[in-house]
Amino acid sequence: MDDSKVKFTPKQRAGNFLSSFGLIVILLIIFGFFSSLIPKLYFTWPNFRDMIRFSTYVGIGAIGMTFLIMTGNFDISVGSMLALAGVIGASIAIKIGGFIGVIITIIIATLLGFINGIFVTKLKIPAFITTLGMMFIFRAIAYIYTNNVPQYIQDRFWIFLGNGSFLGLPLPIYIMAICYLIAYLMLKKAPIGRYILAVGTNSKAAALSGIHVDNVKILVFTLVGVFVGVAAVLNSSMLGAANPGMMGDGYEFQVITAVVLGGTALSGGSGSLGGTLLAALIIIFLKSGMSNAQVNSYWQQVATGVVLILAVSLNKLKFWLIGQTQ
Amino acid sequence: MNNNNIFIELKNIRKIFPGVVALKNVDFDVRYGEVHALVGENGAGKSTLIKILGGAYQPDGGEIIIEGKSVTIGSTSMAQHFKIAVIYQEFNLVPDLSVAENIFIGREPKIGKSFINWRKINNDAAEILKKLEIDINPRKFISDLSVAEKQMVEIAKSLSMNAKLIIMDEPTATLTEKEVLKLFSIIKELKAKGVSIIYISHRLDEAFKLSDRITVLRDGRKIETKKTPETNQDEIVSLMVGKVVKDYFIGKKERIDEKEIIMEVKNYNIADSIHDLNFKLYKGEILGFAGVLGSGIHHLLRSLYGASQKTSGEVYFEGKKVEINNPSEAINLGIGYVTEDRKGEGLLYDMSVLQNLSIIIIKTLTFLKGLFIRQKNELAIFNKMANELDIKYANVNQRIIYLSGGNQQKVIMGRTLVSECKVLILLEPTRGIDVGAKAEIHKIMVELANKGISIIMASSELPELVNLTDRCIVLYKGKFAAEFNRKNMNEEELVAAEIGKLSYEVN
Repeated sequence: MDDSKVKFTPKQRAGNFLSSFGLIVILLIIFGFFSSLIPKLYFTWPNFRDMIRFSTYVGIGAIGMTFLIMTGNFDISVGSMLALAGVIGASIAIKIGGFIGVIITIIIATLLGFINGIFVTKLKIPAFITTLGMMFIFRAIAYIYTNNVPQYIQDRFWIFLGNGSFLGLPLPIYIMAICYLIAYLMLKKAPIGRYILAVGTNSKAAALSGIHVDNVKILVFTLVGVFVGVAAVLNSSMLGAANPGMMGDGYEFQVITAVVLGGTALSGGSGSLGGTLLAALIIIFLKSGMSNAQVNSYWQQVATGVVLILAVSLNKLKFWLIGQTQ
Repeated sequence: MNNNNIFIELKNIRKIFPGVVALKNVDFDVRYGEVHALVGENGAGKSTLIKILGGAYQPDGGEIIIEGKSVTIGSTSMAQHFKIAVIYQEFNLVPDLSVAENIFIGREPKIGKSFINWRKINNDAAEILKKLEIDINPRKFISDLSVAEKQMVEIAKSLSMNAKLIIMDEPTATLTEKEVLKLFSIIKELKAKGVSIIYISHRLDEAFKLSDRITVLRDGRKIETKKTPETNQDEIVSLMVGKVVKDYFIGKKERIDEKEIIMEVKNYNIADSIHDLNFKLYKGEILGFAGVLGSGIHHLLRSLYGASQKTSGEVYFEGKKVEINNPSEAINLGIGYVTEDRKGEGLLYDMSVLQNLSIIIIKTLTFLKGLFIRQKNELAIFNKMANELDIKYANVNQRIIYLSGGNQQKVIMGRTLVSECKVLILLEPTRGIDVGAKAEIHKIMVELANKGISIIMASSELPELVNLTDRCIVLYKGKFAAEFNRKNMNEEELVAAEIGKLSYEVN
């Protein structure tokens, strides 16, 4: 276009700023607030390191969910999935060995994600209903399988994965970095990333472009499983046990909050992995700050709920500022 | 001029989108009882202007004056309050509600305060439809209507609002000749009642037939407003494009003597829409399909691409019998398809111009066994196609929704063209496209055919069918009605066949 250079109104500029730096600003505000409130507990290297270490559990699990929500679906069975995969893997680790246990954990979670995908696409059951049902089923099977006995992780390899360090940084951070790198390459550099976006933004157009829409959806549900599997390995490693009842309790809530706060539209089509990662950090920084400040745990839940709702309104504000109609 | 005659006046209207200035200080006014035609190429700013009038967009500068008062049209409901109705090209109807509910949406007659008076809403709707001589049951759901029927419901809806200004965006694009005439008589009736109409059309002859004044927009600027009797089509076209476009149909291609069959369809049936159809497609041929609503052509073309299923019948592609179960299989054979429903099943809204163009072939532009995209190749292919089709965009990472309708259409066409198909199925390839872009698309089609690509085109535009196709098959209610070729092409007979008045094969 000849003379139509990019010119933004102040409103649009505010919107662009919000979508680029909004999350970083929120993260800094939270960190700054608790650092000045309880500096001795919060503003310390060990606490900082632990917060990042714990954030991997939400951060990794939210990768698959980011893809899934980009296609306009979601999965609320991830908490139970985490527990079921974790307890089975841990029990295998006790009998056979840690390495096999870790692999089995990831395979089980992958399989559970695949099953969700089949139900949603081939049997045409809405994602909400399918994964709500699976949330109860997975959790119940985890109880039945273990007789409600926690499966302790004693294998050194498995313990090392969640608690070891490399070059002064906790190992989970490296694992998370690798997961995000793979996810980033898939989304930005591989055809599958385009297919995921295409299915999310307009599945009819995607189908006419020769994309097998159902297969893409199944793949994305399966990916949710893969990343939840990795998160299950780290979570049970950090806690030293896979507990059928407690493991992954409220996990679906944290993961979906991270994705939505990260800027992925619930209607599908657009989203950002970087946003998801920042949002996962925000959730953990907030949680840790409140725990250290000895905020009542029920009030903590209120705060997390508020963050979720704020996240959605922030997205709306962003789109309104940019002046987007769709 | 007496200012009291003016219903609405726009002064210095500006609208900016990220990357594009859509309107630059546009002045525009409409008088009572006037039909004011708004013309311009794709991307000229027509859609933006009417969206501002309809309250869908807010201008970034300028003033709107309605009946002498400066106002803000802050929302679509405020536009309704000012008695402005907009009939968008892409309709604003709720698919899961009935015709009557859509006509009176937000203004349903009630019993008491809470309950819809169903008898009244249906009777009132029936009355309005009857006035327009539209044969649609008001109890029908919008989702069950054809495109043309939806359009008529939109018109009925704005009439029911007692609008003082009705804005029609390409109202005739989807209508048959008969429906167009009906629309024209309705417009004249409205005009006689003092209703103002802004009429946007790429069909200049319509603008001349109907309008009192014509305003030309180009690149977001108002070029001129002319009194219709004081101008002519050539002048308007040259104002629109900034240069004089002479030949509407360019370079008919050489007639092919060798008749190499690329695709053959035998005993084809689709439940409720196509019955026992047989036809052949030759290499390098442009084969037209003509028919009015209910001809089943769209169902036929969709199923040939594998986007819907046939009931029975055989398809031969390059001599081999093939089963096409989904678009992916069609693409692999070398069949391309360009939808007529750009918004519903063409655009990938949230994706960039580049990503929209490459989506079909992206899996072939890869290395490491399909794992990673060769982004340089992707960009090279995009640049080549953007050049060939003259796609106007600010940068390749711009979201496609920020392009004008015509440029969006070119991207959608380019998406299929880059797949280097042997058979190209085009549905209404020039619907809602201005004269200049239309000629461009026709030129592209002829060039493709000359290269040996066979084109199947469904079109509701008579001149396009008559001038562009080598053969034209007419379907009526899903059955073969007539076939014409270059020698015996006859507009009147073609139209007669379309409406079932003529049923024979011409050889």
